Amino acid sequence: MCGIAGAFAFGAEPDRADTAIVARLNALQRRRGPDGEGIWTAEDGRLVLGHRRLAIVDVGPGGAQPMADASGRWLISFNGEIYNYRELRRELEAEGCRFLGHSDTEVLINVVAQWGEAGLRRLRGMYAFALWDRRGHELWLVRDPYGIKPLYVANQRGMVWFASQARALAEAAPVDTRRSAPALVGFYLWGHVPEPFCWWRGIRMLPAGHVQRIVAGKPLTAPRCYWRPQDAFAESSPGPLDPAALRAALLDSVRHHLIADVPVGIFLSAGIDSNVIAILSAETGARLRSLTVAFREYAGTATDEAPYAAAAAARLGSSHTISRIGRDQFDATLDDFLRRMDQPTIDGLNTYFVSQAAARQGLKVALSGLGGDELFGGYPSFRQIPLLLKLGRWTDHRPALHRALGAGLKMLPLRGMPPKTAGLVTHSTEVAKAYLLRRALYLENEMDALLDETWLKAGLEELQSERALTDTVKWANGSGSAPTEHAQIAMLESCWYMRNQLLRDADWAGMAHGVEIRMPFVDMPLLRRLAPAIGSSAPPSKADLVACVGGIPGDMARRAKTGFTTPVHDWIGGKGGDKRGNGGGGLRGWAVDIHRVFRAVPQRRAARSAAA
Amino acid sequence: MTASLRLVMLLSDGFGGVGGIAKFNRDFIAALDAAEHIEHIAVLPRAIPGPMSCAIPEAAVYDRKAAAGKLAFIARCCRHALALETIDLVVCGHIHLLPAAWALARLRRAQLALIIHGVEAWTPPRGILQRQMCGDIDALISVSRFTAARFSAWSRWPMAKTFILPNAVDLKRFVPRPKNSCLLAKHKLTGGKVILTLGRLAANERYKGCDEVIALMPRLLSRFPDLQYLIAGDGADRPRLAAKAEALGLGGAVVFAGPVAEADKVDIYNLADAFVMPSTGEGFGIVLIEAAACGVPVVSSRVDGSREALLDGRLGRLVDPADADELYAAIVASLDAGRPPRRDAAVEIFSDACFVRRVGDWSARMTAAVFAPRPDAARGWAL
Repeated sequence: MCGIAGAFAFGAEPDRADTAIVARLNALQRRRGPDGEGIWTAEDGRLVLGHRRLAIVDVGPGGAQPMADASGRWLISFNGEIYNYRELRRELEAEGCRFLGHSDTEVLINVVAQWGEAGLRRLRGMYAFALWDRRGHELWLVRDPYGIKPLYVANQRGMVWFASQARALAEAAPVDTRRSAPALVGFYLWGHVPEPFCWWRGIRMLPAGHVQRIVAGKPLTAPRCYWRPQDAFAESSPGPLDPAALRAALLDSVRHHLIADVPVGIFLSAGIDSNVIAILSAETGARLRSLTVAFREYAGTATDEAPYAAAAAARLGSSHTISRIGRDQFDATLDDFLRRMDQPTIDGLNTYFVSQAAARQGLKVALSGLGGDELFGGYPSFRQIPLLLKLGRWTDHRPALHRALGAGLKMLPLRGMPPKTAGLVTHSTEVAKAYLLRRALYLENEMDALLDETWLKAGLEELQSERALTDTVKWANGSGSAPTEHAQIAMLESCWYMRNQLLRDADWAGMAHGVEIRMPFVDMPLLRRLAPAIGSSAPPSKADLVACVGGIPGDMARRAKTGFTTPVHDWIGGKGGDKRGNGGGGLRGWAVDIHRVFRAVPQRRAARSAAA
Repeated sequence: MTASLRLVMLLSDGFGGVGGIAKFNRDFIAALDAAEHIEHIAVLPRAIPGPMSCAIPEAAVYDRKAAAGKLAFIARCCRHALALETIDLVVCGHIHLLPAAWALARLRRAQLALIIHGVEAWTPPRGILQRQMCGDIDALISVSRFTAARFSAWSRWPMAKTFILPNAVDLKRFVPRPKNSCLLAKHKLTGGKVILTLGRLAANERYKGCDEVIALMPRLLSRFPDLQYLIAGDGADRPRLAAKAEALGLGGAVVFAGPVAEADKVDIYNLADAFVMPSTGEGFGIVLIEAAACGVPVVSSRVDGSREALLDGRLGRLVDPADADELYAAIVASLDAGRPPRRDAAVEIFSDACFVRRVGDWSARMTAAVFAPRPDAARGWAL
């Protein structure tokens, strides 16, 4: 995992890209890649590629980037890992490809060079890269299908700038840094900025699973989707998966995610998912080093994850580290946490702390159990949304009751009533709407007290949330059948909450400490293996996961899902925030505070420029 | 994460409004938006006279329903009085709105800040209650020390507790330019020296001093035979001023430009060889700074807020408007000296950046005051 950046003067004017801007982008992304830096400028000066390196595979100078292939035709700046690079290399060598080194980067170049866009679907990994074809004068910008690695793009008057971090682009490149209305409204709607929107108006996230090919001297073309997780369902027919096959698929993913030339750690909590990863990692013969973050406030309470994790580590013979965070450490690191946050988000603190602990242990790579809830129906949404839809169908047949409920609930929220109660009737007609109700931080009709109507109108119009959610669950299984509610929820959770919140937070919070977070549950080959079962009438559950892997103690398996709770709201409250009930308290209050911090980011830049 | 404030701000007008107070309010809201300590601003405008062309800052919610009429304004104030959300501070943007702001602040146990702009705060309001309320505020912002002193004199509000926040001028827009030949032709300016006054020509704003300048024109014409006096702006007092010029036989030497579109203001200032406004009632005089920003020599008054706008004479010549000889001498000196090659750098004091910094300082102070233990915390009324 690294940081990439670049500038491409693809239009008639200007005729050169600014190397200084790319150097500045590199500098701003230093924490993503503390092991090295590279800048390459094309002979005609139209393209500059930048790279910050976190050396994990082929850690010597042979893996440095930007990297050219043996033919010299292709040049790449790549962020991520290709886990199946050894298999792909064997295939490519059989087809006559030559290699200069041993890195996955060089294999990636050859995959595209040899197989073109079709080759992208053969990649197993997380990636965002910029690939330059010297012969065709064409730049490829590509992002993995789950959207694990970010890639932000800005274009203005014949120039394209790109980087791994939006904030770096906003600070270094001459892009439109005014607020994006859909990003602002989207932040309050979801608690994060949904892609492809970005906090700064002139920047967009290249959508997951998309490729954008930009040819010098030709008009800019829109990104094109080459692969999306839903394709795994469209390519298969619903059917059962026996425990042995499930176990083999999981083990295969874990084995691939352990490939590295440096030690790999594991983020271990009291949850099933991280323990499954740890157990399967142990089975591969890997030497385990695990880490747990716990909070002093929770010591000795049922919320404390440390004792469970310590016991699990002991069973597996893992070298285990518990990092206990207290109020003092939170206060000391809050400024850095907010400075590293790439775009506003209401989450990421836990990942920030555990990555910090990993870095202190000298680790550059760690496995995480992220993604298990999406595959194995672990979220409450998998139970609540079907219930809500049942309510919707029931009231649908009783129009008078439907009207009365709707009118009554419109008068809410009353003091003490959950604020989203009013959405129970309006959002119970389809999966996409029910998902919005379940995951929304604020419902659309609650936001008029937070944001001016000009922002709201423009933002909601551009977001088109319901349509975008509905598009996510539009596919037909290989057998032609419609997707089940469970499969739709799995994809909504994967393509919205996980992609925009969990994966993005894992990226910036891990990179804040130069730690690459790998997620064996977020893996296209694994999804393709599991899709028939997830799309069936008996989708695999956490109990199936526990049963097929074995070795997870009963108390841990039975432990109610608590989510990763932190005492952050109490801590913030002491600073004059939530204690006054601002923003409704809880995550809503935290969102208001985060917005306040991010309002100032462009102004700070302007102030710095003025000072300079 | 620092502590932050939730504000309700009551305005006469702001977005969609014209004039100095509306501009001050727009600048103030934008500066609050940029301030670290401001979480949210609910804005209740009393009026929205024109189309709202500027973007509303993202921390603000501009309550358009409040501008629908007096009753609507009161209803929206009541809504905030009864709402669940915390209100830390009520900002009253005009002394005429103080009763509503005071009641809201006291009902919600919030602090109350009053902004005063000029002549409206120089003398006590007629109502006893409103006078009492002026003494029962928690903070005062004044656009000038002059206005603050006048307010302080009758309200007994301590000067030391007043925050001086001069108006801001867009210094990127108001810049020296050559004279616009189309405008010269449009206003029948013959190419000689031009002196300019820009302002509302209302009967109650005669203090701007157009009468004094018209009265001096015969003397000035004997010194500068091709001199013309351009009076830009409109209002009910214009026919009287025109008649006065006519009576003095000034003919084409006094030109009335009529209302000036915001987009034309920079060119209008740049037509002038001297900007003259010997006023006796300006709270601050933003036009003086705009003229100075355009590199035009300025002549104004030392007896009102103009003196501060001109930085005690650094940005222009100060006179006693009642002293015709002194005014004459200052105009002649300005015209003889001609326009300087570049504007005085001291005008930067009134830049947007300085305004934003000052509002940031003020909001930090208010945050400290709100979160400090308050011995008088019990004086609000609990609902």
